[in-house]
Amino acid sequence: MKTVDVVEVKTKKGKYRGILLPSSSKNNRTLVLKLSSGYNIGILKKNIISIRKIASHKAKSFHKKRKILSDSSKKTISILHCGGTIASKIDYETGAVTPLFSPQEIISLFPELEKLANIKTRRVTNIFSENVRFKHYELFATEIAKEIKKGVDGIIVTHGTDTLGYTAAALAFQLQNLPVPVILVGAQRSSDRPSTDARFNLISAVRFAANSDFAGVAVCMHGSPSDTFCLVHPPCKVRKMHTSRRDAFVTVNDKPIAKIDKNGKIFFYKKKYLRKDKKRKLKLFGGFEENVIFLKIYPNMSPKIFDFIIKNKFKGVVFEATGLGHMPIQKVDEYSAPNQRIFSKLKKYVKSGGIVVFAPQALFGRLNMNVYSTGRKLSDVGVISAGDMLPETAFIKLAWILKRVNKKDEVERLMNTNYAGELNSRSKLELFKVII
Amino acid sequence: MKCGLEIHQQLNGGKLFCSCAASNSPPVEHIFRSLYASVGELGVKDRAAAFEEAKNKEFNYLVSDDVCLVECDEEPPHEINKHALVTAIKGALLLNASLFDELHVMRKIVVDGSNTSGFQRTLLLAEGGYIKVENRRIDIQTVCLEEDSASIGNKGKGTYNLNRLGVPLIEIATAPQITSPSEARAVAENIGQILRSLDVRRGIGTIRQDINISVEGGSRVEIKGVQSLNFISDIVRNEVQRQKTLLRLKKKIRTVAKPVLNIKNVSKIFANTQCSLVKRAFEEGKNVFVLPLPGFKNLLGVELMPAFRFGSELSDYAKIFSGVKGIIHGDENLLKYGFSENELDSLNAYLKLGKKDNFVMCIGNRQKAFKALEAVHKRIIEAYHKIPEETRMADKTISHFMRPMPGKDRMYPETDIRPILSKKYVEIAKNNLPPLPSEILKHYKKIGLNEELAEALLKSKYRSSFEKFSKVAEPKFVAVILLQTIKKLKREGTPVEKLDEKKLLDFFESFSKLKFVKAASEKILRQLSSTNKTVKQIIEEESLRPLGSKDIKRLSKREKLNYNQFMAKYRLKADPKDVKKLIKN
Repeated sequence: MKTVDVVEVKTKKGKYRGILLPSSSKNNRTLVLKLSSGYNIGILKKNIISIRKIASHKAKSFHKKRKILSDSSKKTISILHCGGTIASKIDYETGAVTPLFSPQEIISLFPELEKLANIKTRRVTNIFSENVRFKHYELFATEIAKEIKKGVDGIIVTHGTDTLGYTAAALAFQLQNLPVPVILVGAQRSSDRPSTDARFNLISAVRFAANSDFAGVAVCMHGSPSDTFCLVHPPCKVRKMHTSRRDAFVTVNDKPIAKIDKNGKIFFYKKKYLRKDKKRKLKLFGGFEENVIFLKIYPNMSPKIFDFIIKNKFKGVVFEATGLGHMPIQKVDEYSAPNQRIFSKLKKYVKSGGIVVFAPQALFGRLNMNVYSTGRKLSDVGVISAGDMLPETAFIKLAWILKRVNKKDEVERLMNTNYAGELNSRSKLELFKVII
Repeated sequence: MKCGLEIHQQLNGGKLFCSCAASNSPPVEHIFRSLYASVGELGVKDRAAAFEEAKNKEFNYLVSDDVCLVECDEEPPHEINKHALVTAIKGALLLNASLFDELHVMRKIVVDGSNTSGFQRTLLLAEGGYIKVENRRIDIQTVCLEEDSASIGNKGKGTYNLNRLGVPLIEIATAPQITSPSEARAVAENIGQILRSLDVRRGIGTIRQDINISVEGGSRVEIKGVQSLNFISDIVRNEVQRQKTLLRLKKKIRTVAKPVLNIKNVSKIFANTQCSLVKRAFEEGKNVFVLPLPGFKNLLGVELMPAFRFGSELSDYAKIFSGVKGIIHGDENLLKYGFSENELDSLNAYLKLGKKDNFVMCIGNRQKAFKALEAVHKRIIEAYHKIPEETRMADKTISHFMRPMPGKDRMYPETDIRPILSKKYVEIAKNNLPPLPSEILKHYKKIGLNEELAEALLKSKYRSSFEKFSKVAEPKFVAVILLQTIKKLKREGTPVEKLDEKKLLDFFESFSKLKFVKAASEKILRQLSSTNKTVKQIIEEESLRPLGSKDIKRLSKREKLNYNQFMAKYRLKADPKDVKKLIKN
């Protein structure tokens, strides 16, 4: 018996007729039927007396094959699918959510797109974003560069939301001097649901890419739980701050670039940004150092962390530091002896050529390693401050820099150089808003 | 006719997929959303869902303090509410239905806005049950557990209040075996009684009935939102009448040529009209449009249900599909709208309409009016062939068109919740199963209630309090007080709603301890409901302490009273049985 056959199952309790579906439960103990009412039910295999095939089920396709016409008066926007469930449907065969990625499928799911621009679509990879690795960043950048060569007016990158912020920073560092916009879009509610945020995010991103004069990498997501406006966030200052809300993405230590309302009206919060210029030559700096580690500083942390770092020859480490840029390095009493060991191992690591970067665990605000003696000591042994950079961005940036230079002074200079809006020298009062 | 019922009863104990409680708190925030029909598992867009999408609305959701991210569709559903699951399984068992081994939460697409997610979460628990109603077996096809929808908010169409969204509902669907309006009511009552032995919510709106009706030669129609059991038989009767009349009308209509969709702007004719409706429309830049219907005289005026004509049916279609406020047709008394004879003559002349001809008029902007008249035309053409299968909304004892009948394509799995093996919960339900109404009746009779009291108690809201009170006082006395005395006092205007469970418990305990006489009950209850005094205080103050044998003898001797005279004077303090024993007439 194959799944998607219509079968009749006999048990002690009675007969059930329905379409056989793949079992979704633990240990495969049940057989799942879709009854004619549309409900799924599971029957324990041990209760089954017999199964009989009645007919083969024919899945109907609702995607009308139609030709997508190109309209020369419209901008051409290329949608590159780089994972996530933003453009997906429930797969009847496997029960899994799978991407829809022929242009027809995308247009039939989001018919408004056709009115906004000439849409080209291509699947780069289908991956949940928690599985993305540095090599994928390189792949995404290369694929984007290829599209730009074809002369498109903008690129939309669909991506899972889990690590979308990291990818945004990775693309911003790799793709310098962009002639057109590269907008990353995700969805917090997958697009097989009537309430999906994918539609509004995607439409807003296409509108922004096609109708604004912006060039560069950015992230476009809901600005509130309502379908009323989307925000365009700077790629190195954006962070997923909520596990499930539509407006999970927040600009930290900066202002969003722009807002797009439900009617497509674009309002720029930022006045200074790279303007679209299709003649500008893209500079591609692809690739990241693999041997970089990203850790958090916390009370009672173990000195053994450094043994691991040294043993595995990590070239660099980014720590989410406490407060203004601190780490437990001081022995004050009998309890705090391990702190001393942390400090000596840190010194040993730096001396051996390891790079240590601190970024703010508090996320909002900047580090200042001159205020307390701890900070000064750490600074003196060579810890590099990431200033007001997000820890995730500092991690991606260090890996990007270490791919290119190794000398400590050089690394420090580049970490302190602003490449893609990751560093701000001024922190303004309005940039921190706490709820209530 | 054949008819089946779908009964929805809200369950107690918090929402089905989050930790919120059902509440009535006022909104503190709004969320604006749009919904789009997605593709069902089988790759077919459901037609009712597509219909709602076509209306392309923005919904305004009212969010109160008692609502969390789950109702807002901003967080995945939590694990299923185990208490509600067990309650619903108990319901299935009481209805003799057989439980499925593994339960799958499904998403039923509903894009009318009543669910923020665009679907209702629902699980099929059991099938193949039955009940006995007046010695007839009525099959229970399915028992489901589902989320209630958001209720329509006070700001009108497109506004929904999230307080109700997610409240668990048990849904019981009978087979289409009901053959008369009165049987429909009896079945609803019977199921309602069974449900009341479960941990369910009580009060207005906590139980709702949908009716599926089909008439020989007609079509299946679903009538939603029947508010009261009292309306069920009339609704069924009226729907049967509607379908039978439509079938007769079909024969007549088929003798007339199908009308052509030829909408005309006739505003010029009414340029100097006194009709205030049209005058106002002109000021707003609207126009008068007419769809001529040659040969249709008197066909639109045919009454389908009480005070509901074929014209009303066309009007419902126009309203739903275009959003106009209504239509006007030639079988109405047009003078009441303020049109003059002259205008109507010119209209007929302009459209070349004779005595046998008819028309439908719509006042509005061009786009809306065209949509309205197109919907009217489509419905008329349909009347040549069949009665449309549709979902209708109950309006007391009649119903109005709501949307086309949803197909079965509107289900797909809720991937955020794992399938649930039912065995464990079925065991819990079986070990805590409440008795069936028939068993409860038997029990009531055994503890001394007569047939009438037992039946009344079974239907009343006092069932669970009766259980408590009858432990401290004589059951029959408790039943009489709850079902008769309190009702009587309410009629007199006593604020009986203040008689809460605590006060009543005091009353029944005092009855057993202090032995006040039954005849004093009304007086005590009156005081109990209007003051904060305890029963003991009332008895002292009103000197209702019962007389002992010695007192009765002494008083009757001293005052030279016979039985009747004694009872007339001391009826609130002496038990007639005692007095009878002690005083000879």
